[in-house]
Amino acid sequence: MSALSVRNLSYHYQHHPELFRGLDLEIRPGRVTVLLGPNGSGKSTLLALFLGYLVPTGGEIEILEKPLSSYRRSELGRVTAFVSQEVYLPFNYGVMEYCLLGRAARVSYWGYPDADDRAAAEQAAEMAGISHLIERNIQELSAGELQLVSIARALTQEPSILLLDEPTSHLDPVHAADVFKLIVKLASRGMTVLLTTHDPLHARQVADDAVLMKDGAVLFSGTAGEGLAAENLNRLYGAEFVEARHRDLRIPFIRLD
Amino acid sequence: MAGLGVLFGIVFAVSLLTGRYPAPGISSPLVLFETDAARQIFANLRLPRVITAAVLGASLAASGCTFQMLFRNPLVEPGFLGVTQGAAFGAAGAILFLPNVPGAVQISAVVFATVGLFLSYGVARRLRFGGWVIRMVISGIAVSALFASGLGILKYVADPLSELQEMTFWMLGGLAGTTWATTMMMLPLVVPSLLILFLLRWRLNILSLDDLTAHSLGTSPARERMLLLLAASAATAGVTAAAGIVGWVGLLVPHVARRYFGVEGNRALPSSLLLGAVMVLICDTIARSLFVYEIPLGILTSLLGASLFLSLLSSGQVRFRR
Repeated sequence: MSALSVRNLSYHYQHHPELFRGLDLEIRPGRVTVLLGPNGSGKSTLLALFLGYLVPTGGEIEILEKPLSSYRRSELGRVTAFVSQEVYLPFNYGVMEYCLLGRAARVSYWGYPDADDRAAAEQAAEMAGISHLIERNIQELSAGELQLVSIARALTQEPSILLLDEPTSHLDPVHAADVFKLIVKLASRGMTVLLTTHDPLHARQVADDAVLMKDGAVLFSGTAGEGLAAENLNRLYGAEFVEARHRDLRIPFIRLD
Repeated sequence: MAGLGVLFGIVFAVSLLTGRYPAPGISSPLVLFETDAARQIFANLRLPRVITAAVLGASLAASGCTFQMLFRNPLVEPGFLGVTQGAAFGAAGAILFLPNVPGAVQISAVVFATVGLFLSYGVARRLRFGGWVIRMVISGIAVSALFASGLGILKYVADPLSELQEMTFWMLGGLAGTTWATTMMMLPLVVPSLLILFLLRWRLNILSLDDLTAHSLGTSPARERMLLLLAASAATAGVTAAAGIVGWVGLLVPHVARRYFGVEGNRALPSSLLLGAVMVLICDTIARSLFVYEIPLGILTSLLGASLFLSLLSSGQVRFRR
């Protein structure tokens, strides 16, 4: 059983050379998988392909063992949810109003959210630990709070699979830790979480599995313990990682001296 | 929101009672139905004009609110995708080449407003850089400039004593000479468009997110946006054809509506609709009753709109991303 699987995938942007060719990948359900790779290795593109936003030029993607192409758009919005790297909202929505947007796939086309949708949003807010922010407005929040609220908006979709694109790249270490704690909690309740990150240290702490991508190909796919070892990171980034130990955790980092 | 509905009702009623006949200012309803001439003026001139003014304001403000949410930018207004300049070009062309043909100015304005919209959209689709917002803005500016220069040529060749005056007066915007025919010509295009905007008011919120996020919520942003753009532009084209260029309503009213009634589409759109109607009703009532001669409506809406916008800006209520 796989939550997401990719067989013989190829993709290229219009007027650009091929980014992926013959890519194979399996993401296991109920686990946290990190997608690591240098800039331009195709991590975000892969997420957009999983969301059906981009259409592969070849091969097949399956979501919960069913071809992605056979999903209706609204059906896909009930199975997968996505949180982007940076959230920019042009208008100062209330936190509740923003979370309710997660019900788009469940609200009828000409309708608007009802009491059940509101209950789902409240439950998602509680899960994300942002119930105390529900009366606030988006533009009053810190970047860390906004990221948690965006995850709550995604949880309001009640998805089986949550995709996050560098969810902590703009956050200080404390807020980043809040986001990672939430990710671990979601996986422990059976959700499949796939996230991209540039931070091997955080990846090492939260991930069950790791996928290392370089130049549009999968360099490694397997458990995080093995994948995030210094020798694999060296192959991935072409850098000199060493490992420090804290109890049973091996922490990869690059020495500056 | 209920208070806004009541305000609209009051302004609508006062507008109906206000004019220069039988006496300047507000008249009692009894006086308005006393003589045959008064009844005729009320039923055939004032009533269609007040209805047209309300529809004009509601359409411009609702379209403005829609455009600002779709383009994720509080500074766009409904005419900028070549719609307003297209309508102006069409109207001027009809004044020049089809004089004395009934309805020619209005029909030509709608046709060229639609041409402006599709030209902007077509050019934007062919551009190969930037996100869709920047592509639409650039092509809208270019298409508007094209029509503006065409309009310049038409003005240059127009007879300064007759045609040029008529063109200039049309550009200033106004509802002088509005009859039931004007109202009826506008409604088939405007009513369905406004209905679409009103019914999709919650989905507007989703389209104000970035494209990938909107898509991930299970929607089809490109298709839904096209429908809303078409509806908003059609409403704008319809009322512009009837009333000429009435500026600032589409830009300013959504700001005021969001500030006092909330940014969420469910509240911002209906409140823009009502506030727009109220603003234009007030301006048009002043335009037709303050002096013996009419003041062009566009001048009053610009004066009021720009003043209010400046006060909003200085109060720090309009936020931009740096």
